[in-house]
Amino acid sequence: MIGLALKMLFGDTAKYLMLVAGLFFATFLIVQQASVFCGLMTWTTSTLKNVAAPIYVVEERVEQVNETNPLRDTDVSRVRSVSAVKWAMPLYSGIQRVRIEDGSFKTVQLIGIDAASLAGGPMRMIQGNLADLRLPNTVVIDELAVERLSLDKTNPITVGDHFEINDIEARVVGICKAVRSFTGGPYLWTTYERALQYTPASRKMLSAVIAAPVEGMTPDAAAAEITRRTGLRAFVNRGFGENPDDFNTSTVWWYVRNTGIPISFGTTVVIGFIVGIAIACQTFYAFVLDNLKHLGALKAMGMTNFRLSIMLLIQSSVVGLIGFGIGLLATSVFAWFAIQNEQPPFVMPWIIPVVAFGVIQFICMIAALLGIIRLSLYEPAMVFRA
Amino acid sequence: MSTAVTNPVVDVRGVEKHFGSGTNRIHVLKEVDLQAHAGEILMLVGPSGCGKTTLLSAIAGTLGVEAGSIEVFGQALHTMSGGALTRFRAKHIGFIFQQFNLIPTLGIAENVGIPLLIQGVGSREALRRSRAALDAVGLADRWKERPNKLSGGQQQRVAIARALVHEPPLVICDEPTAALDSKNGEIVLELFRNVARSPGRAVIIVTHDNRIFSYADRIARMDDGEIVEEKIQTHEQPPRFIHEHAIH
Amino acid sequence: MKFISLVSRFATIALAIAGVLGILTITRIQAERAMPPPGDPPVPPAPKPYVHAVSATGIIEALSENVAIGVPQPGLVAELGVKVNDTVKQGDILFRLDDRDLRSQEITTLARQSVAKSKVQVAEAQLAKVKSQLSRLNAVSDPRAVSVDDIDNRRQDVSVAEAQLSSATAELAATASELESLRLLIDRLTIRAPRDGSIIQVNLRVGEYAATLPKSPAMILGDIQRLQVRADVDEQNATRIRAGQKGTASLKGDPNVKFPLEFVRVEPYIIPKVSLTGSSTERVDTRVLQVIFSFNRPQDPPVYVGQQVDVFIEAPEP
Repeated sequence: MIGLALKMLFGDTAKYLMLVAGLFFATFLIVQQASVFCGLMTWTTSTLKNVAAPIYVVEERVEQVNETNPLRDTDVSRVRSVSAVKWAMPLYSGIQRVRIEDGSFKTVQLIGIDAASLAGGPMRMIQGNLADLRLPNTVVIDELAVERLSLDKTNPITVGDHFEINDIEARVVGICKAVRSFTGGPYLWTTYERALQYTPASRKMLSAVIAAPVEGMTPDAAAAEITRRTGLRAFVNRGFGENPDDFNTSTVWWYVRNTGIPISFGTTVVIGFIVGIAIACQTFYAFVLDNLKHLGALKAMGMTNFRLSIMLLIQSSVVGLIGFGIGLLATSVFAWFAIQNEQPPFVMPWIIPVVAFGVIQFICMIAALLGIIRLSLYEPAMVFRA
Repeated sequence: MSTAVTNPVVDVRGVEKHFGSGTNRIHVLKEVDLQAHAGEILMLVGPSGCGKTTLLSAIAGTLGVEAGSIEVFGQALHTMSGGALTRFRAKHIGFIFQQFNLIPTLGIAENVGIPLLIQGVGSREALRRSRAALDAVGLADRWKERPNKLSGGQQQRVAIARALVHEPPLVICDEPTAALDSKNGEIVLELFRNVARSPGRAVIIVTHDNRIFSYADRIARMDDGEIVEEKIQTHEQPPRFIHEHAIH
Repeated sequence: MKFISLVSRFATIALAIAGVLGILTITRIQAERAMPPPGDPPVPPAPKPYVHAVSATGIIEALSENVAIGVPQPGLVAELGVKVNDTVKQGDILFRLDDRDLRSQEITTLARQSVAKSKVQVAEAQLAKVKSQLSRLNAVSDPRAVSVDDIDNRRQDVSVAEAQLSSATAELAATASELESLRLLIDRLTIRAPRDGSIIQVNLRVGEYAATLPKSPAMILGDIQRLQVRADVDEQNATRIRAGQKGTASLKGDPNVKFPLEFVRVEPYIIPKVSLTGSSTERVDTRVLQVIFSFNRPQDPPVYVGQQVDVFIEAPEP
């Protein structure tokens, strides 16, 4: 029975390819666009990935990491005074302008970390030593900065090179790997005190306090305790999820609420869905109509509606599987280039292909259902009226 | 060869059928009575629109009737549920259609095996039996080919093999020669005479092709929803395919 | 036709399988590229010394505060008696200002003193002379031989001579006291240690002009064997501070250097916090309660007055 269904399906090469192409297109649009969207949303939380700390303490009303309301310097001590906190360190994060040798300006994401513990420092050094950050006028840059701050491709900026941040000299002592930022600027690490020198003075400069819970306490419990004791907002930093007290979640939802990004990507995904449904249903219906005479004959010969429906479902489902697989192939190729170039953003949580699979199969079921309805309207007696 | 003593395989009594509604309502079958017996070829003949195809559909269990009874092998079709009717068709009736209705994307052996698959026979066994059935119609060596590689007569022979592969006691044919030229028509009819008709099996052929009338054991002529004439033919001489249109 | 159908069938299936494998590969690459989850910083911060503690930033000072040595009057520095880090006792000479002007006055005064002395001697001789003349006249018993006028004149001569003597004597005494005053003034230009301690800072060199500006002390004297920490506690945590609480300080640069603190006192006046960021522009953020702790100077590693420390004060959470 399955063999019969598949042979009927594969036999009609043109319609089969058309169906596969439609579902491939839908899969590619849905998975690729959803992944680029996820990638873009991940970029909004890149500071949280690059400055890894279990707990972020920010001003009470702050919702997202890229726009923090500065705290007072003594708030580090206040957070440190909470018994649930193992350690708490100051963090500066801000967008600054760098002047490179040829005089042009580039914006960078400047991160200032505690000089003694280097808490919040880059975790994957490629070149140099993070501890050298304690030397005067030094910074650690990421790979993107190498690309952006170099004069040309033949002379990449490297350890020992200089540039200026707000007219103050900065010497590179290390290069690290970092996740790209939403604003597109590379990440620069320096000590907290020096970050304040690089930055034009304002009344309050402390962007956030990063902290860790004491042994045996979850970050969530410690964050709740910090919020209760200090009145500051403490977020955990675990990753996007359902927890509203996770800074990733809060940041991503802020962007979802306050930007047009989800609308634009959502539209493309919906278009993918509609295109998929349109092509799949139309073609599959035409396929059923083409075979109606034969299917009617099968019906007359004693094949039950149920078995015929199963056949159609198998056909559409197999087409869906293959179209989905090819769509994944195209997405993989796209993803491979995206990951190599780190642009465009591409992050594919496992849920995306799973949901896309469900959506494609749903489209196929709808298409099969149309065929089933058409077939059930076909009286077997009609087969005698040639 | 008399068949009057045996119980009829098909027993149609007082069947009524209308199509359409209101002023377009057409009385298609008017109290039709008809019997078909095992081992005979019954031909339903008559002009187009006389109701012979409708009657055939009713006998095949693919069309309900409004009044009267249709019994096939003693089972009243009009009392059976849809599912039972479908299973009944699958087991007891072989179908041959005017346009052959072979599935073009399947090989001919696979086409022949469909009734077996419907009954739930395994695919290997189905293939074996369908090749045997193809052997009976003289196409054993071409079992792998697609139907569209075959001539019309060969395709109809495949259809006959398909109708007979599960050895149904009743074979129903709708204009089996309409799409064939004379030569192929003759071959097909010879097959009916030699293969399809066997003891205990009834063959009902709907046709308006008078070239083949002589193959029938019994001819029921229909006109305007009624059986106007029913005659039994005995074959002192072997039946003959009439190549010229002599009578109408 | 059959060939195309066959090719398309197997090609699509192969592509689909490749797609599933491809997406699995992408997932793996993604997982490899993901940043490791947050953990402890590269240099693990020192564990908190107490379960419940108030944290504060502090600065190290000398115990009993630092003495900024003042200059009595502007002048050139003539001599430095101590170097930085010298231990001094009370009364030890710290430095001396130029006193040559006073000394030259002393010399003239001394000369004037010897003049005064000889004047006294002259007056004494004169007195003796007129006295002997008077006594000779008195010894003449013949009244005619000596006139009354003569005797009166002699008597007046004696009185004049006596007065001249007392004037000369007074003049001598004046020069003596003038000398005494000059010596005191000279001594004032020698600055001595007001108490025992160590020299923490010296802002003078020999030959420099020492001014009397209050903001730049000439020297800072303090007790650097016993140091104290001035800890800034955020006013929001001020309620948790009680007299006698234990404390622990760690150096800002190296959190592993820790030393126990002894409570001294709480400054009763809450002041605006001076930002200790090291930035040139000081920013007033908040008000802080200052708590003073003392501690013995650890031998190794050395700590210095003025160094920043992180302070933990054991205090229960409210």
